[in-house]
Amino acid sequence: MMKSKHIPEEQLVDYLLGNIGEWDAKQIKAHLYHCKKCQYLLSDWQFLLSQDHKKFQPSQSMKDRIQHSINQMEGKSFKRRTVIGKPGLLFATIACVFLIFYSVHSYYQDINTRNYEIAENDEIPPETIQSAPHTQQIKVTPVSEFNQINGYVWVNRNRNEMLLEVDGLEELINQDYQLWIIYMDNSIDHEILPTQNGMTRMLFRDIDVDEFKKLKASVEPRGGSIEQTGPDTFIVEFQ
Amino acid sequence: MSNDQENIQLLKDIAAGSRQAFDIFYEKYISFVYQIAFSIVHNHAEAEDICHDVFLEVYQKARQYSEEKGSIKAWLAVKTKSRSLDRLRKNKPLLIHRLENLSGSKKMEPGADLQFLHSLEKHLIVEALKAIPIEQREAIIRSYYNGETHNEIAMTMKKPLGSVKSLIRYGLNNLRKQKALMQWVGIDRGEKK
Repeated sequence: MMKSKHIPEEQLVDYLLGNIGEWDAKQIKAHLYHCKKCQYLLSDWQFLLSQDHKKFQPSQSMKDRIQHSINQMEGKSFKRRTVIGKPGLLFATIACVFLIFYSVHSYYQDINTRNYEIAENDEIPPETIQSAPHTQQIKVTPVSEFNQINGYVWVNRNRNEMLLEVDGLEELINQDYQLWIIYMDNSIDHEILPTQNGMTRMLFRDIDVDEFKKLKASVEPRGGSIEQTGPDTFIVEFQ
Repeated sequence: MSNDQENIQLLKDIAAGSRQAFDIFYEKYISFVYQIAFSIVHNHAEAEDICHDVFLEVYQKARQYSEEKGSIKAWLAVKTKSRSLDRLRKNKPLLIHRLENLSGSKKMEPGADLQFLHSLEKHLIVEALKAIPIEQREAIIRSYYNGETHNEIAMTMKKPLGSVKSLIRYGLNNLRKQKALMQWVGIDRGEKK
């Protein structure tokens, strides 16, 4: 099972936490016997999982902070429109409410409708679709103020996979780069781009590559937005 | 329902937008996540920031959890480690402090020959080297990383011995000028004399 490949990090953690069955544990032990890289990784996790910093605990305000961020995030998702209450405008108000309800309903039908798996940066296995047969490579086009951006997208229609590699992303404070996947039917999926030293790598699996119309990224408030609010940084056209 | 199944159900409920499920999930795992983050960065405020980012990500991307890859704890642990290392990479003073802390407290952290910190240390030095002129960089790498003698470097770089010595001297001075690295890249590598 693991003779040639390294042990996934999650499996090593489960091995140390005792969450692995006897047969899998034997396989892991056998692999560890000859694999220095996995031995080092195991040793790191042994250290991390054995630390007891009970005297340091997250503060009570932590949860409030997270709740606040979620509220802010959802506030952006459900922008409320204020209806000014003038007596003569009752009919118009009702019509507006109906229209807003209809447009919000249709909008959310178009957002994040697909299920796919993502691996980010270090989680991406060394061998991906880049060298697989039938993989198409497309260069990322940087937009106006983001000329330093450079990267490629690899898509494999047979495997329904996409690998995105982009570098030259300037470090942002209190903002994130957000990826927008626009499909032929104009529905949209969006993900935060995980950046490491100005670079991002994301591998998507079980994604409708055939349905891709366009990819683009924008600068958004930290945590991302439900709809694009910031400037484009790069685009990839599929048509 | 087993404990694992209960927790997986919590994630499904979170993915469906349940704040109540998120609250329960948070209470169950905050301590575990915090302990890992703190073990990596050794800074309370930074560890809290990491917890914030991890739990926000859980809320936004709960559907990304895949039972086939491992337990929820393992998923959270790997995610937390990854976010913690991102923090160290982006925050050089924090990284230097952590490296100094490690080298100065081996008794407090027995067996803490942490590979992820060694790779970050290399990254820190490589970043610093990138900021100095190419010839100085090459001379320093050949001397300190490849273990070549000054004569060997002079032959390979086709330069007089005196020039090689000057390149190394100027290169080291330039490295020391990068204030964030003064304490660490110095001869004592941050260890108190």
